[in-house]
Amino acid sequence: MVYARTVPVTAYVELAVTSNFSFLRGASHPEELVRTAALLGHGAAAIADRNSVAGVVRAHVAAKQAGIKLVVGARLVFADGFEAVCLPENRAAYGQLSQLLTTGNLRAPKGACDLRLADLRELSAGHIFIAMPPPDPTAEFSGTMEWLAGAFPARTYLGATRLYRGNDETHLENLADLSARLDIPLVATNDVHYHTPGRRPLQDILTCVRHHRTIFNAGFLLHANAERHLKEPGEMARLFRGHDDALTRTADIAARCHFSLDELAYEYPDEPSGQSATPQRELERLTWLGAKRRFPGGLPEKLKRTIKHELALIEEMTYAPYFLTVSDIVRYARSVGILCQGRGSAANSAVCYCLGITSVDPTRIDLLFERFVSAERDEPPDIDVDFEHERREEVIQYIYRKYGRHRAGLAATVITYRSRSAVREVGKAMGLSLDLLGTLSGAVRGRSFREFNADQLRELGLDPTDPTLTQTLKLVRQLMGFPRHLSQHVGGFVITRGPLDSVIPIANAAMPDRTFIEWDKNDLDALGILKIDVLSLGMLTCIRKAFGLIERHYGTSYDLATVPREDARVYDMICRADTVGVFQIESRAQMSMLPRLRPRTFYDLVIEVALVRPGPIQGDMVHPYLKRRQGLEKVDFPSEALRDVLGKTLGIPLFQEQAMKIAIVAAGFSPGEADQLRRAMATFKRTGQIGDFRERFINGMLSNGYALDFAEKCFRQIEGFSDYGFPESHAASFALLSYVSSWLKCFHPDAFACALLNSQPMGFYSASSIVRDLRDHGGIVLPVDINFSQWDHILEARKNSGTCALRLGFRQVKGVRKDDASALLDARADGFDSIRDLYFRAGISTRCMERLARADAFCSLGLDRRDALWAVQGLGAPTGIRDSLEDLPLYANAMAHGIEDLQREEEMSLPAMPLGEHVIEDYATLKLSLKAHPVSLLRNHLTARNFVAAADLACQTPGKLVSIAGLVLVRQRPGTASGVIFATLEDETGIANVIIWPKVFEANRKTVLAARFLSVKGILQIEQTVIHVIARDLTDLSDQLAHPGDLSDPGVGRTETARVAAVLPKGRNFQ
Amino acid sequence: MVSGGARIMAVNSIAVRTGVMVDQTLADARALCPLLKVEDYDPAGDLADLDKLCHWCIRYSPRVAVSPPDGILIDITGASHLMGGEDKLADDLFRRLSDFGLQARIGVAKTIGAAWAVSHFGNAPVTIVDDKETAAALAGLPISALRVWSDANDRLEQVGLKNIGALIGKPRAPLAARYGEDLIRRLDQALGHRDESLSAIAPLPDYRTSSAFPEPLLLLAQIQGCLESLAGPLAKLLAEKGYGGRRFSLSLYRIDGDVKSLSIRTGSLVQQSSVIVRLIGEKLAAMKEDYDPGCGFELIVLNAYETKIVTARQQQLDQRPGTGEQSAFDMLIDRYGNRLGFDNIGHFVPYQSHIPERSERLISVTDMAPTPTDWPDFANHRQHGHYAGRPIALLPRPEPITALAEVPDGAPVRFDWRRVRHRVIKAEGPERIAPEWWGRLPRHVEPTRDYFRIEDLDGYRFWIFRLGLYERQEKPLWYMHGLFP
Repeated sequence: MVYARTVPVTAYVELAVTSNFSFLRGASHPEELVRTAALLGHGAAAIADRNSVAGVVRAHVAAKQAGIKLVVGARLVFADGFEAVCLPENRAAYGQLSQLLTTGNLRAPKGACDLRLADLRELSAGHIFIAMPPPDPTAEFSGTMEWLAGAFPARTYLGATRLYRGNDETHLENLADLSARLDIPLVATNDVHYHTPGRRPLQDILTCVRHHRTIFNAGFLLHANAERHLKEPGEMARLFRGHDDALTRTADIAARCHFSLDELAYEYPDEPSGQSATPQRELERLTWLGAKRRFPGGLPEKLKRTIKHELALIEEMTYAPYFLTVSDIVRYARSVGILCQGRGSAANSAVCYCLGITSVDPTRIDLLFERFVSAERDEPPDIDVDFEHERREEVIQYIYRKYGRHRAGLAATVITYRSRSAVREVGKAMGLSLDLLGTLSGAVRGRSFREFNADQLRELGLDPTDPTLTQTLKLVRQLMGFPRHLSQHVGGFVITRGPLDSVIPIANAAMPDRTFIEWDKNDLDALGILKIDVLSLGMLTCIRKAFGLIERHYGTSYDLATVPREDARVYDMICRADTVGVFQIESRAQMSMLPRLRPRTFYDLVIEVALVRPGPIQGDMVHPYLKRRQGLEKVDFPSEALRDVLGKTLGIPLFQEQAMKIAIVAAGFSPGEADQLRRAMATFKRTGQIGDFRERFINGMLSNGYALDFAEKCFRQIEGFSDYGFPESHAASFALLSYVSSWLKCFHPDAFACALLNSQPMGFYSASSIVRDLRDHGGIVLPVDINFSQWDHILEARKNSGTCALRLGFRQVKGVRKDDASALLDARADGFDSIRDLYFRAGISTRCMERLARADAFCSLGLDRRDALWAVQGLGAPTGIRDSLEDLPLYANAMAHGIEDLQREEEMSLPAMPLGEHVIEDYATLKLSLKAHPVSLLRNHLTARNFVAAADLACQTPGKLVSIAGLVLVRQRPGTASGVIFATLEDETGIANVIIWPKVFEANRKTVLAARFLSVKGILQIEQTVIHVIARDLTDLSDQLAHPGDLSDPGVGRTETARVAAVLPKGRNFQ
Repeated sequence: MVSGGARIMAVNSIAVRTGVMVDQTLADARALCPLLKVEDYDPAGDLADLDKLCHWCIRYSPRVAVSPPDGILIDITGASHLMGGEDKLADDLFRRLSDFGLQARIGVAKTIGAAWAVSHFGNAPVTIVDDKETAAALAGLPISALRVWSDANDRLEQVGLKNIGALIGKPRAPLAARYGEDLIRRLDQALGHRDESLSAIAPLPDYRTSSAFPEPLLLLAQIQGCLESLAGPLAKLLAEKGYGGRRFSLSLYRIDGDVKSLSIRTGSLVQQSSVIVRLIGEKLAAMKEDYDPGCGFELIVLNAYETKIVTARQQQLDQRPGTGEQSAFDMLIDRYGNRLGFDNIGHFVPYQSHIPERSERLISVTDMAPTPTDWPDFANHRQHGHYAGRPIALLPRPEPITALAEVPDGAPVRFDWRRVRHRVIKAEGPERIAPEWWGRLPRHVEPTRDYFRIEDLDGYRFWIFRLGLYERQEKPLWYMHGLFP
């Protein structure tokens, strides 16, 4: 080498770098590695993770910020153990590397990659290989080396390390010999696993987690020292003294690898432009066609201008194919009857409305198209479309069919270590006892990891001076935010023109027939790759099913756009907070707000949806808005400029767009900066990084003449948005579903309840509450019956009545599977006339029949639950498994004595079943009872003790001490309410809301958490129509239910009580 | 562990009061009681303890059986009169168990089934059922009191048959067809219509003699004396029958419930009291160090097992000992072990630690692994597949030396050890070994070591290390750690 020995010390590049995207191996983030490489004066940074490029985009972004070149690569680990760092020189080589990894990924189950040496034969473009020898190079290794060098001459290198293993000199000499013999040049590396030696403990812990060991018995699995960190070029030069060319080659190689991720110039697939010349013309054609359909009475002039404006912008940005893609997916969904609706910022677009992607009429809200697509913010628009949750898979399969799996893929979600998982993994590796682990993870439950100070640790009963504990906590903090594994994104699709796998490696997902790409949403954004979010929403399923039922039973057909708008009766219902089951406005918080906000128009609903959310609540916007809305506070604006921004929300910022606009109008941010602020808001909760914006924001407002406290208040509100703020357009999309579901509930409560039950599990309320609500509104609900029920819940026409009755379906019966129900339905014909008839014709197991009997589904045969059970149990062996006919005890008996003997079983008199027990059994098998509410069984008893029924609370004097009792439906402890618990109780007359202050909760912990039937004594609070009981005393009455009036069977013992308690709904706990 | 995470398996009465229940998830239990103290579920340990308690119960009757997971069955037929009747026996048992801190529930009845039922489901901690009232006593108890482990109880409850009384005297065929023969069998067993026997925990001794002491024995000599006084009658008993035993045990019942058994085996059948006394006497004497009489022994039993009619028989043709059944090494260990105590014989086993002085451990031969260690393989493994060699023995403690070496990580060119100067002519290294950081405070973690293999002018070879790295400003010091042969 000519320039050996005179090399400047800066000519070193570390090429074998393992980041934490080599899961449980690397102990530093790609960003940390890149920044450190830049600080140490490396000529370039490189990332080569184990059979993966999952971390390279982050490294790419960090490298740009640090002003250092990034060499992208992967460390290929072959099935036979051979390892080589592969660095693509150019775009084509990168594409082939990506395809190689895809091949390996698809061969292996999720999370693994099965590469074989023969796969390398597919590579034809410029790849550089650095073979990483084992500590003691074997003949096999040199054989593979030789083969590799033969296949890739002048591109194969031998990686040499000096890791202080004691024989480094000899090792290096051996490698030099090998290198000379095979004519494969040496390359110096440090086989980096972390950016600083301080990460050795964490790397040790990761090794323990990988091998399921504790640090105490991990032994030689751990590295002996902390040398695998990024070292200064000078230090590397000292270590490789005498092998200077091995050092300089690193820089040569880095210089040869001129591939940059920026080159993945994203090529969007050509959408067929149909009858038009270009996609843009086709988009325009479809848009105007759609506009005509949306506005049959003629297009408003203003809207026409908006559409033209949008189309021009789309043309300028050449996004037309993207719009066509989404439009086509939506068209497909419609064609097979799948309900869908765009959400998020796409609802800001009139074009999307005309194309049928979104459903919010642009004449009804103000559009901010620039929030969606902007020329200034050069980043792809993001169209999120919700589909019915039960049928989204069909849409996904359509996309795969249309573009092929080689061109379409789901984005990844990087699952990271959160506080609890980090505590669990580190704790296990540090050998903490299950007990201690439980205490610690309990302490971090549900919130981000706090720095525990000594007092807090002592409070938990832990010793803050214990070294294992303090080390554990320190390591937990380091591990948090580390990627854990890749998972498929809920529905973010990436579609490419060429093969997708030459852009990003594709891997198998856990679900069969699912694949996803290695990069997540942020990575795709960073590279400007378009994606389409195909999301699922339970309410769409419900609405579609309700539309179907209405069409079948009432003969009118609706879709989202044709449901009659702005019906006063619907708003009347909403103002009464009569919204069980309605989308978004059914929660306790929403329900308590509805009578106060009294929404009367669609836009009121939009505000309602956006307002009662954690963000605005934390930002303290709810009460000011409420006061202004009720006219208790003057609506004023600090400036005319802000009047434009905040006018429609009475001066209170509620939407993300408003926060952005305040930043622009009042604090002097550029639109681009405002968008950065929005992004910071979205990740504030995770990263806590919003600080520098704060100063600029407040200074900006001060210099524009706003008062300091107003500026601070504004910023606090923006902070409050964090993860939870809604953009206006998104709130509008959701509000539309709120309106439509309210309309259904108002005018077709039977169809709505039926559809809601058939879409379970979803929403806030249990089947029991939904059924109760329907009956409270005069609906008829019929029990499950073997002769009338279907699998789904159905509507049955009732004579002389304009409405239908809801017949519960077999899906409500615990333990009955769909195939059992189908077998029964196939055989039913004109009905079953006896249990034997059912048994012999339907061919279902006796166990299944027993479940039906327990659910009291034999009433049409004249058999009550107990008689039916006795008869069914007599059919089969005690195992409940259907034997061959001859083996059935009764049948065998009949064979011997003649068939009539079947009827001649010895008589057994069974005690009659009291109502209370029926109710309990109903709950046990159906999770609801049509016979009676459990609390009603105790009503006499309760009345005698001066308990008030939920429905009668409104007639009581506020401020009075009252006692109520009911089943616990929900317990909530919103993060926004500083430890206050909201519990919802249900009795036979309705629902009562209970507020439990933290002090009372601590004193009654067991009762609050464990009671299924709870009695509460407390102060009645009535604010407008919102009623709360502020709890003082709480008593668990669960055991009372076991012995209500008519259930005082002397044989009922402690087992009975426990069973009753177990059967009743447990109540949903803090979510 | 089942789905939903760890679950509660057992609780004490305080936990019950805070609402913690069996089968709850640990998370739920913690929500109820944040300061809950949890121990890992250890069924094997529980069973071992139950077994221990069961042995203790042999004081009441030799026929005792474990009834997992939490019961003990004692057949007191013909034994209760020794305690002055069933009620006295039950009271005595209850009192003693309470003294151990155990909350016992005791049922006495004519059948195992009935006793089990009243003990688990009766109202009082001690329930004694008169033989004639078995059915009446059972009638009010739930079906689960019948020890039917299938889901039959639930299914019976659903049709309203909630207690045993609802089954007594009812047609049996329909019940058996629906809920299994097992139900009928258990019912019959509880009522005494069908036999049930317990399989005793320990093999019943063929012969036994015992003495109880109102004043507990404390001294070893007293026990020795007692052994002699028991062995005589036992030997006499055996001799009368013409039997000999192959196994004998002396069980010592301590007042606090601990039972210690000393067992001996013999190659041939033994019926001489002198042999019994000598063999067990040796064991007694060996106990000396960990002899712990507590508050004294109240009952001592001598048992003879595996008894057979004694016939004279030639054992073997020549006098050669152990023909290959036991390796000479094992025999050596046995001999030393008997003489010195097994705990006093140690051997080295490898321990996976990078720190040299921690990479071997001396353990007692009684804990010896069945397969011997492959030391070269271990050493190879320790040094990542390139066995460079380390001294066979290390100095008891690294000894400080002064050395002259190139900074930062060069090998010494000369060093002084024990006042002798050595000039280095060959060196290999460094092998860098970082400290074990876990489980100690940062200030107690010693610095990283760099080891060198050194040869001096005179051909002596050393293993020395530098403690601390220059680049971390740790003021390095040099140490001698071992010598190569």
